[in-house]
Amino acid sequence: MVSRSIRSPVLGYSDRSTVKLDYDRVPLRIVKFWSRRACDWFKLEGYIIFESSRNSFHVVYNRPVTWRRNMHIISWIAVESQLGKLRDYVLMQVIKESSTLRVGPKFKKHSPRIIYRYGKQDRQIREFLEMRKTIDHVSKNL
Amino acid sequence: MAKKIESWSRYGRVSVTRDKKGRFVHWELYVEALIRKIYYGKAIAVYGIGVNRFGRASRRYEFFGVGRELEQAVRRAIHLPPKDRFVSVSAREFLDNPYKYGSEGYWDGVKVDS
Repeated sequence: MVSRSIRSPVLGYSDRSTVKLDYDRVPLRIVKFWSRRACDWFKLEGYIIFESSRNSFHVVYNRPVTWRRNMHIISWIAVESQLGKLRDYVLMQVIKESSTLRVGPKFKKHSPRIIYRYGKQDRQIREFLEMRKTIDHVSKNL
Repeated sequence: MAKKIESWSRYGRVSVTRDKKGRFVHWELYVEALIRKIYYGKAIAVYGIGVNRFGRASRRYEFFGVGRELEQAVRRAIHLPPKDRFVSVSAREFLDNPYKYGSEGYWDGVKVDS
């Protein structure tokens, strides 16, 4: 018989047209460097950085792209930056065929907070922030 | 002209067009793919280590839909981890028949990748 004790699952935002990255155990200056470099190289218009926990950051870019282009961009960053954790994240997204970032709280970790913005924020970033608001509302009412 | 989703006993959910006086004009099957197309790319992922009669494994729902349905689907999903490892479904479809996609159990609080 399965126990009925309830713990909440993790809530996240998932899609295929937004370029999203999850940097685990990476200093902020490295995250800023690679975010800026990818933004300029692939003309992604702008980005936003969230702090998910100490030395862990999420990056969301503004320009919508196809899934094929999305995979090209995040794989390029993972290979060029030589960050092992980022490479694992990219492989997971390829397996799932959609990219996901955590939005709600996760056990002892708080919801990711905005810490840095650069460039335009009017397309995918705006959609992401709207969905984040919805998910926040959902997780508060659980 | 107004379009409305109706439930017909013979065809299930259909999209019906009626004129201003309410007279029937046209009908077509209400296809799940239409919803998927509208909300394509905007899904709530509910994931973790799900424990139910199918075992203990990393499991994930992807719900697409609108606000209230999403909220209700997530609330329902807390008690029903998915049967499969990965389930992508509209929130409305899940709420109509939750036991098709999930099985009673709980989510275990251990580390899981996004």
